[in-house]
Amino acid sequence: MIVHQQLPMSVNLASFDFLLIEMVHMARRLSEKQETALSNDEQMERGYTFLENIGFQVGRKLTERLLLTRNRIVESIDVMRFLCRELWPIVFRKQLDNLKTNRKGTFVITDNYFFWFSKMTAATGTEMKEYTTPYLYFPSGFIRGVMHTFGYPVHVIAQCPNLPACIFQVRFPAP
Amino acid sequence: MSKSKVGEDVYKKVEKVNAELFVLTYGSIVAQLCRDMNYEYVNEELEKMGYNIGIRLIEDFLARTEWHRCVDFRETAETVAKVGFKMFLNVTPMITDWSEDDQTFTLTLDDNPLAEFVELPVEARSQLWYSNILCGVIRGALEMVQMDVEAYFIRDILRGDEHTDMKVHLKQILKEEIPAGDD
Repeated sequence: MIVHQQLPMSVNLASFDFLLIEMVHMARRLSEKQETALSNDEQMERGYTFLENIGFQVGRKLTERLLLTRNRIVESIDVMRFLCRELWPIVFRKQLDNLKTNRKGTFVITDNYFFWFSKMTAATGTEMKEYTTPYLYFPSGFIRGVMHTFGYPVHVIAQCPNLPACIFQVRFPAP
Repeated sequence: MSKSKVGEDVYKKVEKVNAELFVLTYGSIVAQLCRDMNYEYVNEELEKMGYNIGIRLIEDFLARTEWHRCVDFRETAETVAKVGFKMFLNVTPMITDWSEDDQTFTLTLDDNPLAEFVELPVEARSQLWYSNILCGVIRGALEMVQMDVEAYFIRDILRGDEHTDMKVHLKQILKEEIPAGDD
């Protein structure tokens, strides 16, 4: 991991883990505390937006920081490569495993061993969906933030087909 | 072996993450909280986050350091600063200002890793304790080893003060109790 070594200061990875996991818990706590006029779904939605926004900011700031020392990238495919190979490992520890595109502006990226999911017990069906959904918003926001910095207002749909894999569909706007 | 040596040794062994990423993630969380609620509430929420982290973090601490029980609160303070902070955040705050009864001390966090690159908006300066999560972590972690403490910031460089100081006060030693229905 190139970036890790370039920068002199570091902190314990465990601290970062604790922070991220507690962030997800906090979002749930906050959404439960909101006024009761909202329905359950709307409350959940708020917590998710909260996480999505944080991811977005992190993606944006990190990209800007890294771009200081490198050439600008323009093409969408190159931007996606940059995300998979350089940005993803910084936050999520490993490169993304697979990058596919239909050449019409939709990309599908897969992380076969998403680190948040790697420690969850196996679950299936709705139970799994319930566990994994809150954790998908931070990375989706992150991807959106990165793309936003390059000037692409993309749409991201995330899902967890089975633990510990994670799939993101990234749709670029039509040119 | 001295405490700082233990802290350094453990830190050398653990996996690490780029400090900038850590800082900007924490910054984004605080910023998002501030957008959604008032500062007083943000302080409280950060403390609560810290507390929840602290009660889990102590396990990691004990597992990695195999630390013994501290003889008094002075030793606890040293352990928190030289082993705990070093091991998790790669800094060692200074301990100053012991009260006469040895129950209260001040942690001076001048190179606070959370506050790197941060500048607070003017209206937040008198209200927000940006690094309040640390108070919660200390409270949570020490509670798990039977110490009921109170931790709060009294000064912060981000607010224009000369130092970043946190007061930690030992309220009482909790009795060891067997959890209900667990005998």
